[in-house]
Amino acid sequence: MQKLHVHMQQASEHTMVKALLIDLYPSMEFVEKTKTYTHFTIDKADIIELPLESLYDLLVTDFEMRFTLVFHTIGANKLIGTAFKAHLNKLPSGTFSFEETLFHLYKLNPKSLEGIKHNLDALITQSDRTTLLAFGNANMKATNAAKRLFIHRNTMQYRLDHIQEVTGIDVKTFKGLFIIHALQTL
Amino acid sequence: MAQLTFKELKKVYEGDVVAVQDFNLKVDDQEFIVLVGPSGCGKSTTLRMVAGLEDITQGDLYIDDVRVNDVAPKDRDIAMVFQSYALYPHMTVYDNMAFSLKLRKKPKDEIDERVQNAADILGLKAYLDRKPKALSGGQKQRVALGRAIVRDANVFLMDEPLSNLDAKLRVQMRAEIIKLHKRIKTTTVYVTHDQIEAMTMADRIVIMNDGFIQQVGVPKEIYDYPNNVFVGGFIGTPAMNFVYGKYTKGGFFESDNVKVKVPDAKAKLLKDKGYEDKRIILGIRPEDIHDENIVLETYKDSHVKLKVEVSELLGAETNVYAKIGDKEIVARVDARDDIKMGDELELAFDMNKVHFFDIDSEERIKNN
Repeated sequence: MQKLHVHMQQASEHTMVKALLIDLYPSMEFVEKTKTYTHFTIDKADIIELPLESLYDLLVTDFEMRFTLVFHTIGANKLIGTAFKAHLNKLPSGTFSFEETLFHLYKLNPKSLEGIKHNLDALITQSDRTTLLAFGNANMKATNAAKRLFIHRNTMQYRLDHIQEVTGIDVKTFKGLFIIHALQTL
Repeated sequence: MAQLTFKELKKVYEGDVVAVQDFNLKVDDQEFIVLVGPSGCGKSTTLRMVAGLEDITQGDLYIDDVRVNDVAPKDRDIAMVFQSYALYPHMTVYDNMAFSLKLRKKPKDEIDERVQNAADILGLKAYLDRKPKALSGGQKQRVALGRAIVRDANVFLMDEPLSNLDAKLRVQMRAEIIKLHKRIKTTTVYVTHDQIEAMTMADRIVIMNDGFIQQVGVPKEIYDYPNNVFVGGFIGTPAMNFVYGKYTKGGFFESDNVKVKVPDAKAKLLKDKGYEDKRIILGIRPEDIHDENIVLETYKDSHVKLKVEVSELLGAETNVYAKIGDKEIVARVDARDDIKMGDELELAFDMNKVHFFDIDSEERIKNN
């Protein structure tokens, strides 16, 4: 079962929050927890019954404080390293995908992502860079990008999926493609 | 119960994106106010500032006489209802409603009393032992409302609470929320992009666009006297028609295939404001364009000849689409008149109902 990583920052401590998470998501496992920060994993299937956006709504209405939730796939762990929680304080209250999060942080201060850029350089190959460039130049149309590289469309799709697997960034979204280019040029 | 006061409220996001500005408003105690506007107009941001989920960049927000800019959400005594039903799937209806009170360590008896009372108001007594999975969409939304009601908060904030419901249920829930408000009278700020919800539910409507308030008023006033082209076009289905043309010295409004006499009072206003021989915009609602003989007889100098492009039979009435120049125009006429595509029609504008707008500012031309 595919796992989803969730980082949760809450404005102040409340012991009930963590207990509630265990009840809400049967597959939930803690990765790290401090008083106001929690990093946990859940099976993707678990969010069908309670999407993270709805979890946010519940937490905000009942605990009456700001919460920031960021979710990503396992691939992103190598990209973000261990210092990611420091970034969460810079995000507003809400639920954010990984691509939205990086995009947001980049807009705030590109330099804050230098550590992530360093990790990205080690994670993606020259071939990945060529794939990304072709996909960007083809205005995110995989078929056109494949033609330019003289490869099959499915191969193009496979390569784009592979990049997401390795980095956690869905480059088929506008924000994902933007941020992966932006990180490379930092 | 509480009064809300917004003074020069402004919200700027990173990258200098201005979401809300010049927001001045007083929401009276027990009032049901609706913020309406297209996506990205700043209505939800405004609501989130009231809830304390967003920082206020500039300006002041008061709940009664207390400035709450820096007050934590939990100390604002506000209850929120969101678009998602936001219910705990593993809890019963009763526990879903009781949960926030348990967190606040309220005594058991009080919790029970408040939950039973809310369930009674919302017709949920028979469902208290059920889990959300076993409820219909409308029932879930009622439980979400119940979770807010039990809080006995000073202000309700509702962010598009009906958008997840199907059309029929939405109409039903609309009425239920109004009835609920009449009963519990809590000051409510309700956000929607649906102008019909705004018109049917609000004591007063606040129309927003591009972060600015465009107009505040009771629904009828907004409908009958829109401040500008945006408001005229946003409220009403089909939307108000806008014809671009010129006001001539003889007291006529002229456009491509339109020449209509402007009534004396409006002609005087246009003359006094210096619009003679200038281009202006005429706004007319579809229901103020008539095909009945009696009206055609009455308004002899406001006839318009049009060729029907599309005719939509709605049952009681027909929407007739045609073109004036390159602009589409729609008239709502009686469905008994058999109108087909391609028909040549002679219609009359009820010139007493039209509005004129400045072509540059798009503001309604009115007496000061």
